[in-house]
Amino acid sequence: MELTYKDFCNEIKKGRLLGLKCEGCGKVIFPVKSFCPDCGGNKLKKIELSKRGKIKTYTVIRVAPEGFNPPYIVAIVELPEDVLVMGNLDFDPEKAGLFLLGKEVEIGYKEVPGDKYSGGGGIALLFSLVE
Amino acid sequence: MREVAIVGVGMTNFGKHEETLLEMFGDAANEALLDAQLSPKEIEALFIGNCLGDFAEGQANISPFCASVIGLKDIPTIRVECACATATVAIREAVLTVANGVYDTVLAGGTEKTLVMGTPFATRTFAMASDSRFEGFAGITFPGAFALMAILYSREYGVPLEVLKEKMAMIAVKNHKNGAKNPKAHFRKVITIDDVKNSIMVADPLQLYDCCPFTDGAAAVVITTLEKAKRICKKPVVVAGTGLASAGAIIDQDIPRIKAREKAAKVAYAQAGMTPNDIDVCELHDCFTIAEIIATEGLGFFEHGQGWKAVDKGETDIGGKIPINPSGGLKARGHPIGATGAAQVYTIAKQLREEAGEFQVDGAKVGMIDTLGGDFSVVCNLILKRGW
Repeated sequence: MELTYKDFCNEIKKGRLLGLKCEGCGKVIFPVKSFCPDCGGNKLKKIELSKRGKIKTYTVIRVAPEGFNPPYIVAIVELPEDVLVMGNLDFDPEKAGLFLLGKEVEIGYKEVPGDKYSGGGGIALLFSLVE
Repeated sequence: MREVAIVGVGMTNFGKHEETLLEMFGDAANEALLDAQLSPKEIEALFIGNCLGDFAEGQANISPFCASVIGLKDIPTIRVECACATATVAIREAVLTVANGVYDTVLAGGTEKTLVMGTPFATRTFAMASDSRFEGFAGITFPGAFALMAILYSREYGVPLEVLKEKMAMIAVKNHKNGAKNPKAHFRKVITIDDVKNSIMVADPLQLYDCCPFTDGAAAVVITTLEKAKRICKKPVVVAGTGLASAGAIIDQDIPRIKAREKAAKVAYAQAGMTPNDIDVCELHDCFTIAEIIATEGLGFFEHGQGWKAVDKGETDIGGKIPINPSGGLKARGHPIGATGAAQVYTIAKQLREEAGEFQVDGAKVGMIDTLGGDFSVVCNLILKRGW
C-alpha cells in the first residue's frame, strides 16, 4: 500500500494529515485504499490534506463502548478536498448543539491506547473550533 | 437458475435466553423442520449466521456444531458474518446454491446472544462492525452512527430536528404497538410518545426508545427448489428476488442516503420483475427510529427526504399504504444481530401464509425483507411471494 495506517499515524504526529490522490483521474481518496474507487486506477500518490474543515454532522456519545469515557462528541468533518474525516470534537459535550454544524475546525489528533481486541493503539482525529 | 422456495420456518421467542447459542439454534431448526415436515437427514448443507459467538460464549467455528446439534454430520457447513445483516446474507447464499443446482434442500438461519455481554462490552463488540482504524478509535457506536445520520437528515432535507424527533418517536410507538401483538417479540408492551421523550439520551438526538434492544434469539428456514416445494408443501414461499451490496466506512459514503441499500433493492426488484408498488408488507431494519425513515426511502416506498411524513398519516401502519414492521421490527421484536434477518424471513413467510395472527396484513401476497449491517456498509434485500 502506498499509504499504510501506521504511516498515516506517524505523519499526523508530525503535523501532516495524509490522504491519496489518483494519478489517473485526480480523485482525492480518504480513507486509504489500494485502488481508485472512481476509475479503478492503482497509481495512487500520497498527498497532504487540509487540516481545516467544516463540521458536517455530530453526536454526543453517552453510552460508550467498553474502554471509552462518555460523554464525548464524535463528528464528521468535510475537508475542502471534498473528503470526509471522523474524529472527536474537543468541546464540552453538554454545550453541544446544532450551532456546531458548518463551524470551521482545526484538525489535530489524540493517541488512543486501544484494548486487547484492537490490534494495538491508534489515533483519533481531534477537532478544535476555530474562533 | 432454478426457482427457490422456503418450505419451513422456525424462531425462538426473542428476549433473554438461558439457553446456549447451539440450544437456541436447535430449537429454531426443530420448529423449521417440523413446519417443513422434513427430517434433518434431508438437509444437504447448513448456512448459519452468527456475529458475536466468539465474544458472548467463546464459541468460534460455530457452523459444524450447529449441524451436530441437529444430528447432522458429514455435510458442508458455513458460518456467515455481515454484522446485523448476517442471517439475511446467510439465507441469500443458501438460496443461490439451491438456485444454481449445488444442493436441493438446505437449512439457513442465525443464532445470537448479546445480553450476557452487558451493555459496555456488547456496545464494544457491535462497534467492531465499523472501520476499526478510521472510525473505531474515535469511539463511534451504532446509536452514534445513526445519530450522525439523524442530524444530517434534518439538515439536508430541511426538517427541523424537533419535528423529525416527534416522527421518530411515533415510529417507536408504532413498532411497539405492533410488537405487543407478536407472541415472540422481546417487548410486548405499548408505549407512548412521552415514554420516548422521557427516556435517557443514548447518542444525541437518539434516546433509549429510539433504539432497538440487545436481544438473544435464533431463527431458521428450510430452503428447497420450488419444484420439490410444490410436492411437499401447500404454501411454498417463493424467493422472487435477492440483492446484496456493500460500501466502505461512513466517511466513504454519500450520507444521509444509503447507496448500498439502493443498489441491493434495485437488484432484488429487477430479479423479481417488481417495483416498490408491488410490495404488500415489509420487515425492514429499524435498528433506530431514524433508520426506518431512511430505509423506507432507500427501498423506494417514499421519495428521499419525504419518508418522515409517512408515520403521521398511518401509511406505514398495518392497513396502511405499505405496512412496515408489523412484527414490531427490531425495535420491539428485538435484535439478536446474527439472527435478525432470519426472524424477518420467518415473519414475512408467516404473513404470506396468513399465519401472522394479530399482526396479519390482510391479503399480503408479496413481502420484502431489508437488513442492514455495520455503519451502512452492507445491505441485503429479499423479495418473497406466494408460490400457490
